[in-house]
Amino acid sequence: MAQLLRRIFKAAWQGFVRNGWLSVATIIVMILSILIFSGVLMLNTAFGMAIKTLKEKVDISVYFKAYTPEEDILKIKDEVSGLKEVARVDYISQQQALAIFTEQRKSDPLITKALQELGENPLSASLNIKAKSTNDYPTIVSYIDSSTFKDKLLSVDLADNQKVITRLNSLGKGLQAGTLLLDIVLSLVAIIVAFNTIRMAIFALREEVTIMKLAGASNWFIRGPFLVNGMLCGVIAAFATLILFIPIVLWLGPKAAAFVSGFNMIGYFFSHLGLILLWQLLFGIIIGVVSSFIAITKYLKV
Amino acid sequence: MALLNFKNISKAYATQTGSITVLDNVSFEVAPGEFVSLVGKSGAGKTTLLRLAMAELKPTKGRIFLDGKDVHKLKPHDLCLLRRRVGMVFQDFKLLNDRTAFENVAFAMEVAGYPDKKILEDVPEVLKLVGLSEKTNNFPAQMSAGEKQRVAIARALIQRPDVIFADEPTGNLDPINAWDIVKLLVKINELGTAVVLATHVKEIINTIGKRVISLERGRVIRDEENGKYLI
Repeated sequence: MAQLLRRIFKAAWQGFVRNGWLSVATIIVMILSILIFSGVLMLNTAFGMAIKTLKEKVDISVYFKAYTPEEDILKIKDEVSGLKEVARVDYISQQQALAIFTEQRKSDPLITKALQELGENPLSASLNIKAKSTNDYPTIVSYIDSSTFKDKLLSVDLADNQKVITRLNSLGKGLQAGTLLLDIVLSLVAIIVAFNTIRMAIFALREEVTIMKLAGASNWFIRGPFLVNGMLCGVIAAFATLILFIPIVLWLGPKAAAFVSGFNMIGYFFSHLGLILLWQLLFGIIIGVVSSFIAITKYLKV
Repeated sequence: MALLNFKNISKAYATQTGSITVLDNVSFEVAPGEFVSLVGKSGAGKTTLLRLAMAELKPTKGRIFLDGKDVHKLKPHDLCLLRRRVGMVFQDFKLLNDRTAFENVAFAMEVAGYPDKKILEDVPEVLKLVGLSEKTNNFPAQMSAGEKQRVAIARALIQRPDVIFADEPTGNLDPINAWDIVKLLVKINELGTAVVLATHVKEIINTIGKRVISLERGRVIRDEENGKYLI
């Protein structure tokens, strides 16, 4: 068995080196296929992060009437925090609201002057509520509407957020379906291109397969080197793709960050380098071995 | 018992306009150690007979026995074992182009699972027998047609086969090389291996002076000991 495996690996390596141009052509096409596949992976991550970032920006602000005691507001905060749909509740006091407002409008002297002339803090204390899922916001809102503390509320800025939430949910579903379709189409393109290249490479060697069969070689003795060769091409293509990916990511990273706020492509790529290489290796090896297996089987019927 | 037995072999190919019969009820036997020449014009069915005997093709009718075994009823593994007992020499050499002369010959031993030591001992010996000691590490592209055919014969010979099928082995060779190859086949036969030589070269057949089976339009029209090419 060890002798057989050694001979298979030796024949695979010899075939790989001696049919150098064929091997190079196969590897180049496999690199393109793995690039497409890796692009699909990165695209999925970018879309996922875009939706996550947008969803994180959604919350419900509940404004309290003036002079509502802080003690009451904190009780309400605890009550709302207890809801299973709620992820986090932040209390923003009147003073904090004023500080934030002043900071945001500091470049507008008119507003600053108006506040000074008013003499008192016109802003309300509020609670910012974040739900665990965007689907939970309607439940939280209906809880607030029917609560005992409703009379203490000045307003609940629900209407605008409700629209954003609905849009985000449908956008998320649409993007999910769209990327899934794109994934399938691009992965299929990558697989078909790589498969046909390997098939062509083996087609060029079909006469050799017949000779081997007539010399009394078993199917596995013939098939083995082709499978190892396919695997070898897949592994080399995966590493080459990873190296090619580095300048692409460095170039594309800032553009992606501008397009999808919060998506740090460069950081994501380098922190997930091992995982990305693993996916690329898996894709390369599987496509190399499976394509070789299917292609060679056709010529073994001698 | 006959080494090789062709029993009522017919082979027809389906075409768009009907079917073409290439072999029609061919029967003959080859004894162990015998030298048989299959002669006939191109298209007489010589190559088809050899391809049928190697189980590369299936007959439309009839059966072929090698050492008592129906070659078309063997399981894949047994067919591999049978092919290792038959050496094949082709007009177009059919060498593995990405392997050296040594590796082409060694391949036939590797498939049979011989250890490296035995391969390293036997291959140079057989290459010496066919006069290629100096070309051991040459690739087919670096050899002449005659040398390529010698490598093919060495490959066919290396496993000490019961029979060698030589299909127009001189077809691509100049007269001098052609004679060298024929002499080599005769020498191999004298060492005890049966040889079935398919050819349409009249001079070769008439000089060898062995058994001749003449085929015409897929039928055996003559089978003579010490025969001549009379078509």
